[in-house]
Amino acid sequence: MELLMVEGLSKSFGGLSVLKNISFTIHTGEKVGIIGPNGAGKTTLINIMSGVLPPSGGQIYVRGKPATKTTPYKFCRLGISRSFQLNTLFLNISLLDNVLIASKGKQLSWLKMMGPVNERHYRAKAQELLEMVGLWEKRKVFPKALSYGEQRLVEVVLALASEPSLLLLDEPSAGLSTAEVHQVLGLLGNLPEDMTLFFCAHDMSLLFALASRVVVLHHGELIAEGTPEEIKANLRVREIYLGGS
Amino acid sequence: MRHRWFLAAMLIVIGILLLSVPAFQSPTWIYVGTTFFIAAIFVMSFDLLGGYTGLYPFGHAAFFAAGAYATALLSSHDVTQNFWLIIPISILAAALLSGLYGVIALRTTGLYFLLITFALGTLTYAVVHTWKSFTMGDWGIAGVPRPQFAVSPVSFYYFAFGIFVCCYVLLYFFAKSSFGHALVGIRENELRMRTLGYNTWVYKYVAFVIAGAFAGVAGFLYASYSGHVGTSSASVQQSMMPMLMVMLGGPGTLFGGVIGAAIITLLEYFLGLYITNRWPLILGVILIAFAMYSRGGIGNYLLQVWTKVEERYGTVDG
Repeated sequence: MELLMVEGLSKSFGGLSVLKNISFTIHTGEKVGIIGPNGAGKTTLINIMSGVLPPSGGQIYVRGKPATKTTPYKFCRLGISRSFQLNTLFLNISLLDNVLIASKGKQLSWLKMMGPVNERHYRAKAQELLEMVGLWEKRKVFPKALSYGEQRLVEVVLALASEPSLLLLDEPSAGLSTAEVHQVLGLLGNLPEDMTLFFCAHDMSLLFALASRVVVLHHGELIAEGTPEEIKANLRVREIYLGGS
Repeated sequence: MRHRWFLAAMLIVIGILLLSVPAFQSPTWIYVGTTFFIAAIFVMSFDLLGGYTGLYPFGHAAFFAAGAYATALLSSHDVTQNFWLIIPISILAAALLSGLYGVIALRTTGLYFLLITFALGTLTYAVVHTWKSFTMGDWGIAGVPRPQFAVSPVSFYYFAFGIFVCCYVLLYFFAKSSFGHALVGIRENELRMRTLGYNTWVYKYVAFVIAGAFAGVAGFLYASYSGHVGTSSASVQQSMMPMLMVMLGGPGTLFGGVIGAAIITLLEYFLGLYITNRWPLILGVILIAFAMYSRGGIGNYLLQVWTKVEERYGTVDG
């Protein structure tokens, strides 16, 4: 089933064209990886797909309905959640409160929002998520006291807390050691089968371990799309991204 | 759990101390106490917006003045003397004004928010200053009566204390609610909150209106207590005062602002006795010292101490 479709998407910042006529479709349950050298337009694409930036041209459809001018909070309510390349945790509140806040974003009842933050249902969910990344014991700690690797994991946890059907991850393994990349891999590998994943990564081990399909961007253009094997075999991709070996 | 009992015991002791102030039959302390309750409500309303939401307004006196002038106009023009009508109308007037200003001010953030609220505060001052047929301009409106059950200074002291406790409890539970946490999230990272499904503009708007309404409560008390409302209630100095109190007491803690209000009210009164118009010089030195060495204010310092006590002696599961 088609979950999100991007059609002829383009983005310019003044005279600089960052994305040019990008089209692809993401189906429910797919794990789509996006690669490309620095400046290829990966983050801009995720920003547009989550409503953070408006496109200069083209259309976005979510479950067949136009969503091009949708704001970020509405994207989340449509079931599309994201993480950021740079950590965006709430640094001055506890880890548990971070997750509790993240899990209540889609709560539409004002009356319930006036209730205590530590409701049993949400607390249980927060516990489950923090246990998944082994940080439940540190729930009272402020995120600034966590290691960088732990912060990256929490960044993903916050996106997961809103129970998305499509998870957009911007470089979830950026700046992590090999051991920490394996932790991220463990977290993402254990996501429910029906959860759709769209992620950009420089780490090829993460990409090829997770992705069922890969999209390649270069200078803002989509130059290849296919299974990891097809991408590995693609001569142009090898030439410009994998070093031609 | 025992630490929570200690905290509760401390609050009870403070409550008893405040309740026993009139027993000393000192007009000075009754005056200082009443003024403190009014300032504390005003500063808590400011803290909801500045400390919790990260939106520091520079025109908060506009809503204080709205509450004060509504009280004065209703009671001194013989519209009604009924306290049970005056207080909700005064709060509504402040809430309506903040609702209007919020639509304009919340289109901006950061420095621009500060500037636009400053402009709106100045506009309010200009209106009360120049619309003489309505506000009596510089003369102000005199003869504002107190509620019938709180005519004497002592009874008004207890009345103001009761209102202060109600406001504190309401704002405390509001700040501790999911809504209050969402405001903190907005303060920390608004874009992240938007991508988590929060319509942050609506949250900020509701906080703005609620803060305005509580400032209106303070304005009502001020008008009733002093019996006179003048342009100074809408002045820049009046807008600046809660900012200084929050800075001193600690933003985003609620009780910190109350501590700041207590310190500044005491300084203003007792230093004012000896060095009349120069007491702000001393206040200025204190604030510079806090800005340089204790940016979290007294409230956040106390919270740190409390956390250390809990870590050292154990605490309930959180």
